[in-house]
Amino acid sequence: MTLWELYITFFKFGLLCFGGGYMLVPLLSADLVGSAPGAPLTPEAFANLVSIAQVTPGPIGINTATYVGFTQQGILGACLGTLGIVTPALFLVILAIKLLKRYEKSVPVQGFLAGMRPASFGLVLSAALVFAELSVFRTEIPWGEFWKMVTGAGGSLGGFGLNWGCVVLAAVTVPVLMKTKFPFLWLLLLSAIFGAFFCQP
Amino acid sequence: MSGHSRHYSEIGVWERSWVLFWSYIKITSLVIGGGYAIIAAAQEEFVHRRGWLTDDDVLEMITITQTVPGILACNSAIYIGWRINGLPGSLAALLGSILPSLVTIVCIAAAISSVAEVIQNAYIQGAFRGVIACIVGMVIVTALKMRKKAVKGWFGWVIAAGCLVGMSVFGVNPAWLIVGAIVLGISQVTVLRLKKREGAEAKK
Repeated sequence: MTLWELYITFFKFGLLCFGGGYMLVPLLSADLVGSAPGAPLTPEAFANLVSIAQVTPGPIGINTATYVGFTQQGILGACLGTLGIVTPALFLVILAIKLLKRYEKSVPVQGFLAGMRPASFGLVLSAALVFAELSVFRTEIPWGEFWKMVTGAGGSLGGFGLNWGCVVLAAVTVPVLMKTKFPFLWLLLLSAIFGAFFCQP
Repeated sequence: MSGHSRHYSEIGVWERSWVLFWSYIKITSLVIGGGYAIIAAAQEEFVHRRGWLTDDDVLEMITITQTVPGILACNSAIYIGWRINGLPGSLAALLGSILPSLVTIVCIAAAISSVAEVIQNAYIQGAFRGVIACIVGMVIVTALKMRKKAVKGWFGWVIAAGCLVGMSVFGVNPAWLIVGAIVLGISQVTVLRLKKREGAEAKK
């Protein structure tokens, strides 16, 4: 891919990824991944990329765009891929702020807010569950097995259980952030140190 | 990380952009987990520590960042930057949100195979889990702070529960949940307005 193609491809991804960077994974795998010699990414490289992007600090979508750009065109490619993916949002977010303000009282905006406010709350809670599955719980939550137990069809929990070090950290974080002015970046660093010894898998 | 905190109206335009840029650099170079984790950290920084935005602003921010396509963390940076310092603020915060990734990923990409090995180390895995557990707490705090204003009446609880169960239990693509919530919201507001009008006409 040339630099220009890289920018345009990621600009398109930026326009298409509704619901956040997670959506980038299916988009990327449809457009860029293949085992054919001409394909920009092999399936193995892509699998590596997804796991690295998730454990590296920073927005997952940006990590992904940077990595793909780098594999195509080096450092310049990394910069252009990243800029491409954020360009549409720069215009759209500012446009959305202005439209919401301007048509505050109209039915579409009122309805939009009536639907999106509770939806945001629900999605933030499911994000907490996603993070819990990576830390507090030892595996993903086995919803299907729970359902079997409730309906009396057997079901087994397998390796599902709690990582107690993580439980302690999560439970301490909530009151500390709600009740004190303790700086959260220090809290993150302390959690990393505590976790290295008490949260091992 | 010092305790001094002045309101942004008391400082110059350049300094505001600098604070936005630097705060986002700090957040995105430490916070693992992407969008929601970074939004929770930004709320801590700009609402709780600096008092530059309110919890209501954060609710509006989350509403907008999820509806507009793009990377959640970057959308939130553009929003916060715009509210505090217009376009220069948006650009500063956006740049701050992508620079650490750019640097780290380029370094990692250059040494990907050895990095993949180091990540498997038990202490490193423990540290990751510790940070993510702390982020679980941070995201729960974000949810608690937005609940009162975000979820009103049974209608709100139905949508919130629908989104939670739809995404967590059934793995529905959040884009569909968002479209569904907006359609339901607009129908509810339309019905309420029609009822109101009927009521007003009946009184006449």
